[in-house]
Amino acid sequence: MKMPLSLAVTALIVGVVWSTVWAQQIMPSSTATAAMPSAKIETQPAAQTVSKPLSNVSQQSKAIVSLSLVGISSLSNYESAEQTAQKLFSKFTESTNFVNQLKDIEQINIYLVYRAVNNKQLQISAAVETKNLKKSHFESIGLAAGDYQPLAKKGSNTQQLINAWQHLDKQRMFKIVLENYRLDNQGNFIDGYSFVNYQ
Amino acid sequence: MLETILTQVDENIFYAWESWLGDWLFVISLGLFALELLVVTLRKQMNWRLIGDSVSNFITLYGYLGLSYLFLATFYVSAFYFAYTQLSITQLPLTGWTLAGCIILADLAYYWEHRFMHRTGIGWATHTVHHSSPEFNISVAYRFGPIDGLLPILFHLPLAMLGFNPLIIFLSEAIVQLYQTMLHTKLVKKLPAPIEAIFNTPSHHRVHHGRNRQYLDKNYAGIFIIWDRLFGTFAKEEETVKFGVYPQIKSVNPFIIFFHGFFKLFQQMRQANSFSQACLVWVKPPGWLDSQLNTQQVKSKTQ
Repeated sequence: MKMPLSLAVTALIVGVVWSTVWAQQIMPSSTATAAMPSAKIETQPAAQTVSKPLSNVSQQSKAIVSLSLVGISSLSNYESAEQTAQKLFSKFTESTNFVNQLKDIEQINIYLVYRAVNNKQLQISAAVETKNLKKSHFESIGLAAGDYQPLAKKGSNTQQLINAWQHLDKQRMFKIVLENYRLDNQGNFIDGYSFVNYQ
Repeated sequence: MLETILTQVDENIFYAWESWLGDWLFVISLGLFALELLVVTLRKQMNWRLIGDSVSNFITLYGYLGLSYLFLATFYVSAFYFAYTQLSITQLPLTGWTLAGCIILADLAYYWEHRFMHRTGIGWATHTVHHSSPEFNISVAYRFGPIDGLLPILFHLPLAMLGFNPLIIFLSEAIVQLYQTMLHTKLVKKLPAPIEAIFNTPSHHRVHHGRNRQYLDKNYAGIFIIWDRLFGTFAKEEETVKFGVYPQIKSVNPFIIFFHGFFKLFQQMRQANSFSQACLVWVKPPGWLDSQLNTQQVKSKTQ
């Protein structure tokens, strides 16, 4: 085979393999079936559509090293993102496994991870760091390192986390929005922060 | 296991796999090499040349590792993370699917990298070290040239730009390397036809190390021989393979073995008739300068 044709075939193979791998990541993942005892945490997760009034984030960008998280995920439309996030958040925090773990620690960080799949759908995950929870009822949530810019600074209250969504840059589609919720061992919200990683 | 492969996987798992491969690759290889030596001894084929050649193989390995750690260790890893975080079109999640895709593409990259090593002056100057042994056993897999660790980055860095996490790329490279190492043996004859059709095998790789005319520049594959079949560089093992290179270096001195490719490259640069010709020696295939000089001689005789 002549070299130009060989290179064209190579490019084609790379395209096919890469597309297959890429297609796998946008397939919906199943939600875990955690037990649901009485509600322990009343904190409402913040999740709104991205079609809000926007302004550029002037804070300096900051890279986050990969977090190892476990949790549950679901695919959602932008319109129903808030409800989906709330559902995942409560399913997650109401599991027996999670509640039992809370007794042994002072506080815990819950994360909501919003991944843009396309301009219609998001994949939303509720998760915690692996060291705080047994993995048996949850899936691993990969969160790649990258250029994450702050949306809501550390120590933000619930309202500030909600307002932070208005700071998204409308001109740029985001890859990931990450929200952190710090809770005490009674399940009470202490504070939080959020970051965005743009396409 | 399948569930793990098809869902998101903890980054630590890939790190653990890569560490395990890195730690045990050499030990497994030494075990297989000991087995080969035992078989050779039982067949009464052991000789001092084989022993000297094998010792030299491991000495070149230390030369290669020394140079790699000195010049490449931080640069190599940093380059992949820079490409992944700053130049990538996306960032693919850590899943079994990603690993499977990355192994296939890393193997394809290995094919082109390997072909480049054979078909350019600079590539061959370093890779000829690996091919210069007249023997063929596991220890030959550890016979490296001075910059064998540098050039492959040109072919593997695009994987990070395609969004593969460097951890997955390094793990895939380790898997291809492990597979390649195990091919360096004369003990395994031919495997069942379907395996020989799809995968690289000791038989295919013996051909690659052959200096028989019909075996030259054939079978560059790492794991999948289909790349060679597809790109027209495949040859089947038929005639008995004569191992080594032309001209043979006939030495077990590790210093000569390690640097002879570059001695020859610089020698060719001195022979060149012009500066541009001396530069082209680095990128043109081995033997290109000889053919150029011969053509010029013929032209001058006929004029």
